[in-house]
Amino acid sequence: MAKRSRLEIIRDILKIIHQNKNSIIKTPLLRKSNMSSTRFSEYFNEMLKRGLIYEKADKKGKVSIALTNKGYHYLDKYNQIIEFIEEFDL
Amino acid sequence: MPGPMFYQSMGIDVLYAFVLIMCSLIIYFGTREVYKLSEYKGIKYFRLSFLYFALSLFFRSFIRIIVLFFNDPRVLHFSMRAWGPVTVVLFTYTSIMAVLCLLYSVLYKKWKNEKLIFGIFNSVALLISLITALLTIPLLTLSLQVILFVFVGLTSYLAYKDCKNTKKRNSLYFNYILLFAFWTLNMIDILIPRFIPIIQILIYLVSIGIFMSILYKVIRRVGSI
Repeated sequence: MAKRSRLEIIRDILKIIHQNKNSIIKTPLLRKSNMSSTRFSEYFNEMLKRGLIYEKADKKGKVSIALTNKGYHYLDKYNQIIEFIEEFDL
Repeated sequence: MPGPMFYQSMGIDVLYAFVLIMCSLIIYFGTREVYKLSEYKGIKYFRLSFLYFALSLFFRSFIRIIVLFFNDPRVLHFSMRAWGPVTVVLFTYTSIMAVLCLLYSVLYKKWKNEKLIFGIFNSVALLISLITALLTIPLLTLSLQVILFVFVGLTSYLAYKDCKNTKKRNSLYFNYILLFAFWTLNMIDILIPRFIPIIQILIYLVSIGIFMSILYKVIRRVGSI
């Protein structure tokens, strides 16, 4: 299996959150993303910092992960980004 | 009083700069969204390259117009030297940075140390622009531009050979090498006036064609601007 690119990994994580009705706890997200916990943390923090996802707490204080508008936008535009990168061999 | 030929030449020059500045800015702003979403380094340098092209073209032509508008008599001397070393430094620096950034956008995966590489690019661009502006020796200017072009051309060729997508690589790298060649001719034309007057229009037309083809590819990929 080919190594996933950074952009692809981010897309996959966002997709998992989206497929879980935009609310998933961190542990199942780690499991479904098929990565080591160190690598997952690196991506998770980057995505938080870039505003693609955010953490929300319910009334009981249980924290889950959700997509921001930018995260949805990333999913929408992912193919376009990849096509652009391939077009100019970037 | 300058004759009609002066104004005609000036008009063509400004129109040419205007078209290329517009192409460059449309590419720069049109790719803002894909960059903001992806924060991809290749896109960052690709965009930066076109911002430098736009700045370079601005320094090339629009300063002339502004001074003409304010009736500065120095504009009547139709030479880059009349504009003083500062304009030459700005034009040469931004031109070289534009070419090097475009090169780096396809090579950043191989040249890992981003800060060092960018530091070297800045130093080379600054050094060449200072030498060009302060020494004003046409043969030296020509040699520096030719050396730079040979380096950029060879590096592009190596990147072309490594590119996996054979369908796209031919047209892309052909476009890039043409762009580098005509940009070098552009710089020689400006820095050494009357060096290649006969083919000046040809340089303008081919340069516009190259920028338009890149703009077309950008619009096709990113959709609306």
